[in-house]
Amino acid sequence: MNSIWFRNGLRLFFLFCFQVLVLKQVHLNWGSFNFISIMIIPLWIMLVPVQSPKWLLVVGGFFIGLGVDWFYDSPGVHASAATFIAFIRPFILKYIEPRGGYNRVPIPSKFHLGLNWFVTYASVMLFAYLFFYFSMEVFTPSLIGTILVKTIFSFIMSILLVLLYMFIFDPK
Amino acid sequence: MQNLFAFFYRYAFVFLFLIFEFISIRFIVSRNANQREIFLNSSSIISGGLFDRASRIKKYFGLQEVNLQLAEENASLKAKIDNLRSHTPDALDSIRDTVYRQRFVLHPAQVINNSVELRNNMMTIDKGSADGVFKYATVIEPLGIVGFVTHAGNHYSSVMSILNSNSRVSAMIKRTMTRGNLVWTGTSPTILNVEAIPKHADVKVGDTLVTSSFSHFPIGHPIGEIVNALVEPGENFYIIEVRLFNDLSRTNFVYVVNDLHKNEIDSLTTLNNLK
Repeated sequence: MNSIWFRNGLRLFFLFCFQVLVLKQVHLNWGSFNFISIMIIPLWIMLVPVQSPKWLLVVGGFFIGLGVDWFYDSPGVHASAATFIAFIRPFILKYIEPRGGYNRVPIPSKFHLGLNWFVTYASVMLFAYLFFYFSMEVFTPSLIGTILVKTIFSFIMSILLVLLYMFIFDPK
Repeated sequence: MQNLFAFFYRYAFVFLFLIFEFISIRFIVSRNANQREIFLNSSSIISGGLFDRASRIKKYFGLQEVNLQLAEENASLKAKIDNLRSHTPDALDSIRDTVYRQRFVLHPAQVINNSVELRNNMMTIDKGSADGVFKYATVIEPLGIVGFVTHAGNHYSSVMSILNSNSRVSAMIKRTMTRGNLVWTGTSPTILNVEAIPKHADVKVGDTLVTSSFSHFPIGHPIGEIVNALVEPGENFYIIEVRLFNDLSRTNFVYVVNDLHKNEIDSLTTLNNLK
C-alpha cells in the first residue's frame, strides 16, 4: 500500500513538473488558430488507487489544480476543473465497471484493465476536464462554440499524450 | 445523531466538491480581471441587446404620437424662423457677426432603457462618444427635460434621469424669472419639487417653469407647470410642486445637448471657488 502511494506521489511530481514547465511553454498555434492547450495533469487523478477515499480525492484535486493555476496565472480555473473530475471519477468508474469489478486492481490503468477499457475511461475523464476547464476559462455560456472547439482540439492532443505516457511507462 | 454523522461522512465528498467549486469560482471572479469583466458585462451584453430589440418593437406603437410631436415641434420652429425673418431688417442680414458664437449642439438619440419606478432612475441612450456625446451633456426632449449624461460609452451612454435623488437642475419661473432648484422627492414620476424660491417671490399656480441660464440645458426650455405653491408658516421658502410637460415613462426620442461653452464656464466657476 505504501509503495503504491509512494509511486503516486512520484507520478504527481513528474506530471506536475511536466505540465507547468514543459506543456505550458508549448504553443501549438498557426496564425489565429490557437485552440490547443495540452493537459496531462488529469492523468494523475485518473490513476490514483480505485479504493482511495472519495473526499480525499476531491481535496487532492482541488489543491493540485490550484498548484497548476499558480503557474498558469489563472487562480481557480484548473482547480475547479480538477475538483470536478475528482468528484465524478467514482461515478464514471462505477458506470464502466469491468466484469469482475475492481478486486485486485490497485489502479485503473491500461496494464490492469486493458487498452480498450482505459481509452474509454481516459476519454471521458479528459473530455470532462477540458470541457469544464474551458467553460471556466471562457466563462460565457453564449460562447459555447469556442468552448467546444477548444475542448475538442485540446482533447485530441492530450489523449495522444496520455496514451503515449501509458505505452512508455505502463504504470502497474 | 449517529445517523446524522454517518450521513455527513458518507456524503462528505459531495459537500467538499460544492465547497471547493464555490471557492474556485470566487477565485476566478475575484482575481482574474478577464473573467470579472465578463461576469459583470455579460449581463449587460445580453440585456443591452434585449433592450435594443424591445425598444425597436415598442417604437412602432408610438409612431403616431411621435409624428404628432415632431410635427408640432416643426411648426413651432417654423414659426420662430418666420418671426425672425419678419423682424430682422434686410440690411442686418448681411452683417458678419464676429461676436456671435454657437453655444449648443444637439444630437438626436433614442432611449433604449429607462425606469421611473426606482428612487434613483437611470436611462440608456443609443449614442455615445463616437457620436459626439460627452459626459455632463444634457438630455432634453421637445416637451421637457430628461437628464444629463453620467457616462458616455463608445456607442451608448447612461443618463441620470431627473427622476433621481441626486439630480438637481437649476430652473426658473418663466413669467418672473425667479430661479430655484428642481429636485425629485420620489413620490410620483410626473411631479417634481422646486426648492429655494424665497417667500417674497411672486409664484402663481399655473406658471410655467423653464430651464435657467445657470444650467447647461438650453436656456428657456420648458419643464412643467406649477400645480401647487405654498409657504408653510414660519418658513422662508416656497414648497412648489411642478407637473412635467413630458411623460418620462414614455420617453423615446431625445436630443443630447452639448454645451460648447461648458469648459469655459466651469473653469471660471472653479476660479471663483478657489479665491
